[in-house]
Amino acid sequence: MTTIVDIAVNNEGFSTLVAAVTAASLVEALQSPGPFTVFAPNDAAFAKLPDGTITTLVQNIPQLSRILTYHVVSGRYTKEDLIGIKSLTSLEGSQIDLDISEQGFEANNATVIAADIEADNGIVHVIDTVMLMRPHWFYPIMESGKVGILKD
Amino acid sequence: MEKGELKAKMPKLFHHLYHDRINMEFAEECMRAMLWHEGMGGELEPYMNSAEYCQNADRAIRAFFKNNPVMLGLYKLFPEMFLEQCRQSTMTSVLGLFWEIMAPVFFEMSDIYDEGGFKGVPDAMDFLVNGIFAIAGRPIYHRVNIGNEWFDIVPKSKGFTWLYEAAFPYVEAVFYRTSPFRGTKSYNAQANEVPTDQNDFHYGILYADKFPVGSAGIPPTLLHQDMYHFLPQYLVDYYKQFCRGEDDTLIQLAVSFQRSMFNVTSAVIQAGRAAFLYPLDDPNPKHLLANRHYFEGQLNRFCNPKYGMDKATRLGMVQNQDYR
Repeated sequence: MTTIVDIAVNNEGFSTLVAAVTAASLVEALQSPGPFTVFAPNDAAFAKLPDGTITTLVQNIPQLSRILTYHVVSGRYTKEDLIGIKSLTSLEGSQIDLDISEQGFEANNATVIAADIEADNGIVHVIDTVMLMRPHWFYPIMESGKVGILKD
Repeated sequence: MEKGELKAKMPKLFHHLYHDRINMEFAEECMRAMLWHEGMGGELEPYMNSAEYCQNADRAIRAFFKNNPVMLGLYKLFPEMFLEQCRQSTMTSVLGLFWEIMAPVFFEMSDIYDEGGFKGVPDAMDFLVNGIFAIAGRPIYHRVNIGNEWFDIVPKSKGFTWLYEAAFPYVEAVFYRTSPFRGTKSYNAQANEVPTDQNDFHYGILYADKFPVGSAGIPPTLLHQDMYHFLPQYLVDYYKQFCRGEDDTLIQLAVSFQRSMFNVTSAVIQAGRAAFLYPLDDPNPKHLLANRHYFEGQLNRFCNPKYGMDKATRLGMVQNQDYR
């Protein structure tokens, strides 16, 4: 059986993710029947984070697991399943915003660069940016920005 | 205290009577603001209202008053009151951790400045944004030692992080909101001088009027008094050259402090943009539009005309005869 972990291990460009998942002891969970949908940041995505971000997280395992579980959703969702869906709730508990259009498939501020990689226990979508949880105040700020300058 | 205002060795009481002491009132105000303004994001606040937290706190409270039957009796009668005290001490601990983690970034920044490493404000901003990322994942927790036993009131294993559970709520509560203070100005809630919506509170340092500094009851006054104790010589000399010299050092200090807080707020806004949105040089126009909405939304926080917030940070608009 090919699990989500096998896909990450057997493909190039996921060494940071594999190392992080191993450090956070999430390997077993991601080998379980699931099913899961994983937004998997590639090495280039991790490299985009400013220096020290990953080092700090690897030294603080519960915090690292939190960021990693934010990239996992319970259930098997292909790109097609997600068309028309605005957001998913991650295992971490916060929502992941989705934007699927003709221009592409985006999750939060990450772009999916390879969608629908099938594993026996789920689906992997490769993303180009590590997603960080958007706090709830982020949304009213964006809304207020869309309206423009406030009037009395 | 030998480093303090008097710069002399004498009994602590004399330092105290001369107000040569660290006041900490502002730190307390920060803690209260963070506790009182709920719903500022992060998982800490829901956790502090969970059954798990109450259990942890309960164990600590019982251990703390192990030999004090009166307090234990009171605890039985008024458990919520004790839990609230525990929440306050959790918040104080969170603030302590926040600064323990943040301070080295500022110290390093100060060293780089001393060595002439920053060419201008943008360099310092970049440094801060990267610094915020580097420490973002540091743990936030509350651990106390009572009778040689450690109690995890908020355990590290909850995965609470510096950025989400401390920094963002701190900026929101302290820089923007805090609470109306009694002092030179009285607020009339019936006349809508105090916002009905807590989200609109704007008594933070970013909106502070620096001129009444020195009067009683204005929280930043005490903060600046505290900072005054440890002012480096070059700043003392610098302030002596301007305005009224030594006479209004506190006000000049307040002005510098407020400006530096605007820098920190800018860095936090930039860090938020980097974390949740897109790089400034992103080629996709849709992404740039999202960045713009975020930026305009943040700016809107400074220009809500309903409470005169659009004028709040403009001195000329505030310093009129009616203000006090």
